[in-house]
Amino acid sequence: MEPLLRVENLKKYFPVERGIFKREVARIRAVDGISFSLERGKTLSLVGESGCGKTTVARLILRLLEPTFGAIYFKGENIFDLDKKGMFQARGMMQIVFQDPFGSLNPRQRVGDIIGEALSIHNLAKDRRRERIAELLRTVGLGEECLWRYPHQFSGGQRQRIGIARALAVEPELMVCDEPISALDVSIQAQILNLLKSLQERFSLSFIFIAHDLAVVRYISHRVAIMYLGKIVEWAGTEELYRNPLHPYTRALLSAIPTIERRERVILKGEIPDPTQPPKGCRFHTRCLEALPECKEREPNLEEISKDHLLACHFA
Amino acid sequence: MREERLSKIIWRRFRRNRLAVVGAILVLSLFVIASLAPLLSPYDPGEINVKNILLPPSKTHPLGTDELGRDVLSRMIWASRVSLKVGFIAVGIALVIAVILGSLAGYYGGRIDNLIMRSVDIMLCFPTFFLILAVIAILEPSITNIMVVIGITSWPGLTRLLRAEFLSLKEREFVAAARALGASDRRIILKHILPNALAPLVVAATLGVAGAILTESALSFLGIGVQPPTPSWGNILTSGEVYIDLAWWLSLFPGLAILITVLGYTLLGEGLKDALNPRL
Repeated sequence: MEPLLRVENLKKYFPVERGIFKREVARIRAVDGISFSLERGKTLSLVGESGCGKTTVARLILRLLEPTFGAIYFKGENIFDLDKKGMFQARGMMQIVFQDPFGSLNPRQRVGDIIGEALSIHNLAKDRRRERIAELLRTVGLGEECLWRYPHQFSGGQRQRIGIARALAVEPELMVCDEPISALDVSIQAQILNLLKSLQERFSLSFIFIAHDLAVVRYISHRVAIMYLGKIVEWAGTEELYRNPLHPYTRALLSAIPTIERRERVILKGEIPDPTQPPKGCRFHTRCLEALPECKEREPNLEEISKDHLLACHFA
Repeated sequence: MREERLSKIIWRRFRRNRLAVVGAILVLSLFVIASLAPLLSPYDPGEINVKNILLPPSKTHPLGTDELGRDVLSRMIWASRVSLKVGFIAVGIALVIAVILGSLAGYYGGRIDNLIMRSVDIMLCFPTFFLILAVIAILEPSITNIMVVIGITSWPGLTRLLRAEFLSLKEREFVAAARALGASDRRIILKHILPNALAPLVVAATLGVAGAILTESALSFLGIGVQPPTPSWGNILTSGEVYIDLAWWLSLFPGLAILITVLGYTLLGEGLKDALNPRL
């Protein structure tokens, strides 16, 4: 069966322009050829550190950005081939929840209008809009009295709930969550995660869940893709990945999760390289603790090494 | 959690600023004086009385009389109408142009932006006051012409300001969220970006009113603004200059009126700037 979402060799380069003639002096390779797919009702997590291109992928899926190359098939259709009308319809089936709960709500709109806008754009629940908004607020655990308030009167966690309610308003099938809990207090993070998980069961939603922290991801995802510098370096089912991490970068990320027992930690040195000039060979070799001369020469491909476990490393 | 509107918070912040309140009171009193001019002025502002030429301030004529024996107080009260009208209509015209052009330039970027912003640069190259002088010299001087000319020479600054607001606001996540919902450009501009860009625009417009009033006074003083016998602070000053040795009151009082008005709008504008600043 055709998966709900299939991303094929997606690339997005941002030009770096200088001077009054907008001469292109370099290209930031934010996303550099990634492919994955997502089954209905499942969650795929994209994990990687800041600057690896996760957010760009999220925005490409919603077509808030146009790609440099590649295709995204949503329900079998390449969204970049859709015309205005087709894209409008697709947007009624996919939604996004943003990272920053303070920036993602219009400070001049009341909560009722924020959620109501989603309904009026798609002409939904015409006769009973008020009730529908109240129902959506209840769904995300907020009371009806919030309707008349402004975003600045809420805490970060509550605002994130409002953002989720807005995304749910159009009854989407796919929800892209762009680091929805990274900006929240740890105590609130669990609440939002639980909310997302219960919504998934209730509305059989499919999630693309973006995070920079593997600890959070394990709880919610069915599959995990590890990204580094615009590429996927490892991809596996959640249990498999946590039990049997193969890529040195994945192992480093896993060892960064705090635990009670003492264990050896893999500590990476240095920063993520400049994405305008990614290193030759394996992109990770500049920071890899196990790099060999070969890694500097030849770039590894993402290959299936066991069932449902893909890896881009010469040594596994 | 308090049910508190944003406007209440802004009002509270504004009230705490004493200078701003002084500015607001000055501006408000000017409105009252202008709207009640027929009731407040003791004499007809156009009434000529050759027996009372250039009388110094006294009980019957609190601010004295001019070279035609007209009551200066009455003339100044009526002149406040001219100032208000010119100030608001000129800035209104500038605002309409700035909102349209600034929104288009900031939102769409690219060629439209280039075209609009280069026109702004061209407009800013001209010394505005001399441009106005030239235009008024070709057209005939009248209140309407002055308002229009001041209006169409003061949009570039406001346009630039609004474009800058648009550039930063359109990258915000709530705009991306609206786009992800399939909102039209029109909806995004009118409902999401413009309401958030209004605060600095209101401040600039308030300061712009002060500038427009000053320009009108200067033009009238030079004799190419509001034409006698219609009274304006500027043209009362003109006769004040001629008779400066004989009648100091003809220069002092209209000068003070202009000073107080401009000060009032400036204080109000600065006060609004502080009160509307979301970072405080």
